[in-house]
Amino acid sequence: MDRTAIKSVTCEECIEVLVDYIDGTMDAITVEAFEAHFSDCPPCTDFLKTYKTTISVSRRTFDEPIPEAVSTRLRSFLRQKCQGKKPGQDF
Amino acid sequence: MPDNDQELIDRIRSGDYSAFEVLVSRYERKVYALALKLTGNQADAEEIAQDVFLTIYQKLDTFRGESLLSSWIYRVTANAAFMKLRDRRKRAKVPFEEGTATPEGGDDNMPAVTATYPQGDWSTSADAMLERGELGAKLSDAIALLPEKFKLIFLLKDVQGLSNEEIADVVNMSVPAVKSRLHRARLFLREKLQEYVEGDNRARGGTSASKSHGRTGEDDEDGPDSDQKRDV
Repeated sequence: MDRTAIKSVTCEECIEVLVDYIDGTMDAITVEAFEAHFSDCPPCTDFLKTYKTTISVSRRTFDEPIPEAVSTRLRSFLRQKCQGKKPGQDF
Repeated sequence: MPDNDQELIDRIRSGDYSAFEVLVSRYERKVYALALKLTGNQADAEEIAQDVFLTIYQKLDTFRGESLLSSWIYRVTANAAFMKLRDRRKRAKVPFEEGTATPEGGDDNMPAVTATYPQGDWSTSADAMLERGELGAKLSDAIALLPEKFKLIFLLKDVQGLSNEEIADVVNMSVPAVKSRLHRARLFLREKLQEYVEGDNRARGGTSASKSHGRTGEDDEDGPDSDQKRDV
């Protein structure tokens, strides 16, 4: 691979394509260019870390289990409404 | 081996109610969590979950399989949640005020975001606040400020773990449109999280590290020289 062909990326470009970078859908050459930038740019590295933290904190906060009582009431409701009938029948 | 979704659909259509209970087990947590985050109300979320699964059962005979069953379930859930929010707004007869209700769908209602650089890496502080139980309510307040579509896309991607393609199917948008809104939602929430963490640090007597960079691209427009080989 011709290393001199790796384009220099700006901080703004790094931020704009974070979705693709984190999803792992960026091509290998572009990944190399971005990671070269990150390794030389502590603010961008910090930005990436805090961007990822935003995602992980949100996932841990919002991925809540369904309370058992709610689940019980849900199943009871559905049995009452649906059991004995097929989809499409007159409810 | 557990049935996949299509096998469950076939069994439910033939009158096997136990297959429907398997489907409910598979999706009840996702439906409830999404409804709860979209409406911010436990009673509404419970009612929505009941309505969603009733609708799914009633209409399963007409489900053509052009999208994934999961996409359909999420779409029904989101529509039910947004309908509930609109009914609530109508009953309140109060115009939308920022910070008090979920703004309606359009991009015009997306709060402005600036990709400001952090005062150092506050990730560890954020994790610590989460462990202490201090972030849940604040993050819920922050997400409530997002317009409906932005909030939905963020939740589907970063909480429910859907692919961009599945999300595009649920919200009826292109993948680039989904990615753009996802990114803007993340930037907004990141900014709010930074405010909370910095506020918490100040309250605890900590000091922020000095800012090492200005606004995006202003101080170092061309980026570093990346001709050298680097270990990554």
